[in-house]
Amino acid sequence: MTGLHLKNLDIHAGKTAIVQDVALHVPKGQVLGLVGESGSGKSMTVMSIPHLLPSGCHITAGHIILDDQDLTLLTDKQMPPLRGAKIGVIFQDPFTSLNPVRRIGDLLAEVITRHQNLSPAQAKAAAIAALDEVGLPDAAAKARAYPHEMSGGQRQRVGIALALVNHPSLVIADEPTTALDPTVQVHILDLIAKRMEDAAAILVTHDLGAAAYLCTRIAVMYSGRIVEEAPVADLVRRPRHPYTAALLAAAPRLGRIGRPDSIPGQPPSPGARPQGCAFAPRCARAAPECTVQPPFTGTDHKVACHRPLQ
Amino acid sequence: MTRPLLIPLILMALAGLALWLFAPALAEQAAAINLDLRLAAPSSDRWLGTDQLGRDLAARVLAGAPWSLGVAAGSTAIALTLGTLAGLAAAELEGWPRRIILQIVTLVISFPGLVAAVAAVAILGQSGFSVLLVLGFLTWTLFARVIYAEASSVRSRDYVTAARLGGVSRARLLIRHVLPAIAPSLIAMMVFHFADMLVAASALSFLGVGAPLGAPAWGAIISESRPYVYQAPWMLLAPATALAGTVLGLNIYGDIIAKRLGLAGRPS
Amino acid sequence: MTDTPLLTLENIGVRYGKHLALTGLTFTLRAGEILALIGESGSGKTTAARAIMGLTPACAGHIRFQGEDITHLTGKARRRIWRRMQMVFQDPSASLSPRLTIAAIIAEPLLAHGHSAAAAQTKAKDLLDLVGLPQPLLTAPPTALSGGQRQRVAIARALALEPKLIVADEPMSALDVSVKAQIANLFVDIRDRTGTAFLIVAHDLALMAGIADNAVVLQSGKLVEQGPMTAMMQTPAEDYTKMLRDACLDPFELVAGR
Repeated sequence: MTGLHLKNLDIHAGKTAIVQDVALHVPKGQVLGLVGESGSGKSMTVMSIPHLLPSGCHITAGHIILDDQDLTLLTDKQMPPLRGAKIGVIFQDPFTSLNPVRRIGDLLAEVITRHQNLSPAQAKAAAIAALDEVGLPDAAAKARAYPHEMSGGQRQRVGIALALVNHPSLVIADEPTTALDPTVQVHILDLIAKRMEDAAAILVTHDLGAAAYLCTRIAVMYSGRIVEEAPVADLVRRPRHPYTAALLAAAPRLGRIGRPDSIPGQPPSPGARPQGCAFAPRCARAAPECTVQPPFTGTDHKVACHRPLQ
Repeated sequence: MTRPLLIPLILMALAGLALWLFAPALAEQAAAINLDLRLAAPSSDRWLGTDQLGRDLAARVLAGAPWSLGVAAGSTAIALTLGTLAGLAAAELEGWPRRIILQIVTLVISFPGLVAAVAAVAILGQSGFSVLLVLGFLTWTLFARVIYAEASSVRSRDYVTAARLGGVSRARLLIRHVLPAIAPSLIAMMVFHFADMLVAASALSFLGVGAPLGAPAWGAIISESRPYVYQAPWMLLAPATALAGTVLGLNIYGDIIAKRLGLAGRPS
Repeated sequence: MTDTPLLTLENIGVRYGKHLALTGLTFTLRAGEILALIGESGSGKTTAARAIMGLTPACAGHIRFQGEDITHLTGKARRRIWRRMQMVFQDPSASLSPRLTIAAIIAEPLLAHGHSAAAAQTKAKDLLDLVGLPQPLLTAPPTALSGGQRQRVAIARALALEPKLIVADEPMSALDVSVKAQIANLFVDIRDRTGTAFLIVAHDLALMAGIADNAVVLQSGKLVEQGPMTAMMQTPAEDYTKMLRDACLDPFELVAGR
């Protein structure tokens, strides 16, 4: 089994369940889009993989298997060497994720030498090459620059270089374009696609459009659970879960005439989830059987709903 | 502030009241010279021992408390009031009034504190009140700088701008929005400042400044203990422990308050 | 009356120290219109919004509101204008005072303008209805509300003095996808029911496409293109506008080719 497998993953913050029963499979070379709004648990889910959960949050059940190795069995001490070598994380904010008092080239060289046996001179050259590969013009000069001397888009390219320079098997991109200008978004997504090589990748985003652009499959999360997972075209053309349909209806459309559709209400807070399907209170198709948690079923196109749309 | 947090403040106020009430009796006992009992070690009779004139050290330390604590409280009150007014004014007014206030702050800060204090008290007369005034007027700038920074920050927040757009008057903006936002820092600073003023007042009385000769201010008692440190170390221990203990206690209390009120630590 | 535009900007320039944030900005907004002011970071769109409100001084040009030149007004005169021109801010967690209840927040401008406490309370209730929030929230603090709910409260507060124009600075940027749509629709609803005009600053052309009548596109402090919203989306004249439009990733368009 290669690639990434998440099996029955539960994450708790103290006594409250933040993520419940998440099962995902990302084969090598493919990008999975993990789409959801704030509070859906999507960031928690991916950050549990490299053991980067905030304090107070723990994996309470399930397994995370990457390249046949169960990461839930590892202690926090065993993670750091793995993190740089096998898992690359691209963060949302390219400003705060780069050390402001270090030069870009030094940051890269440090990450390189931690996991590869190169001399300082070789690492420096590798750093410049990495900056060149992410499309930064005049890479040698950029290597001597500080983060604040670059634009948001350029800093994110550096973030991508940092995450991918050691050729990890898994790439996690947590809302990599949210903090950037719209015109830069596509270029950054293209760059991730180009540089990830044959790694498995997860793109966490609230933007269905970005997910549709980059990913082969999309999983939709709502209130801590995956409610639907399918190939991109299938999910967009034939959504089965009412929440997915609502997200699609609310997405900004190029050819839109008239106002966006919106559903009333908001997701429940983790401590106050209703019995059964968490989306039922806002769902136009809710029925008495929805007070029981629907099972996550399907072969290629999976959904957790008692009364799916098709 | 929640009730448990206020308990130390109330206790301190009660203790202060008790000291003030019993001051005359304490002063008598503290001044009672008993040459038979000079340099006596601590015993069941005299808990902290006696000094070179046979005076009860425990009584002396207690009798010295009003001076030290009173000067610290008074100077903190002056510094807090002056500093907050200056800080708020600097934050509120634009142009040259702000520049003038900030320049004055810079000027006062650059005064050599201790030297200025000694000189000022020499001019004003040796009394606790002069020390209190001098310390207050020398240290208000610490409050001013912090309050200026915080008030400026609060004033630029969207909810304050929204209130301004809604027609709320300047005065109401200050009272309703700015003051509640800076109150946590003010309270925490007040506690820390009190501790600092206690040290400063004791330093001055150690140098013989401000406390009338023979009066048992803690710094003065410490100073008197110097020739007898080997024979009667308790002469130093008593006032030093009182001073260090109070300052440490205040700093810990200040940290607790700061944490409880959501501040990162000591505001200044 | 309907012939005079509600708001006119003529050659507005704004300078921050040595840096020119805006140059030569000219456009008009009519009563009851929803105008989108679109741009990326550094475009000067927020600067333009603040200059219109009088929060940032303009170093060149004129701003006219209901025919009156308001460019350099300050103090009492500016406060008089603010009775008719209000603002909604980007960050819903920073635009509501954390120490007040929702009712107090909405009533504040009313009380400041001499309404009685009782009248202000009644108006606050009505405004809460208008923005689609339930009455029990009146006694809640902002921390108990979600981002979308807080933004509705901010809109209710802006409507309290019945202004002719509300300037909204990226009001949906900090909200979730499904909530963005709710708030976008709310703007249209309110315009239809009260006739208030909206100037909405945004970076997302497609999001504004469903609700704005007209749009103005800014880049690096200069106006690039302006015109009816639908025309700008379907047949943009300028390359930059095309770029902005194409930057919108429409999931349906993207799967059409697969």
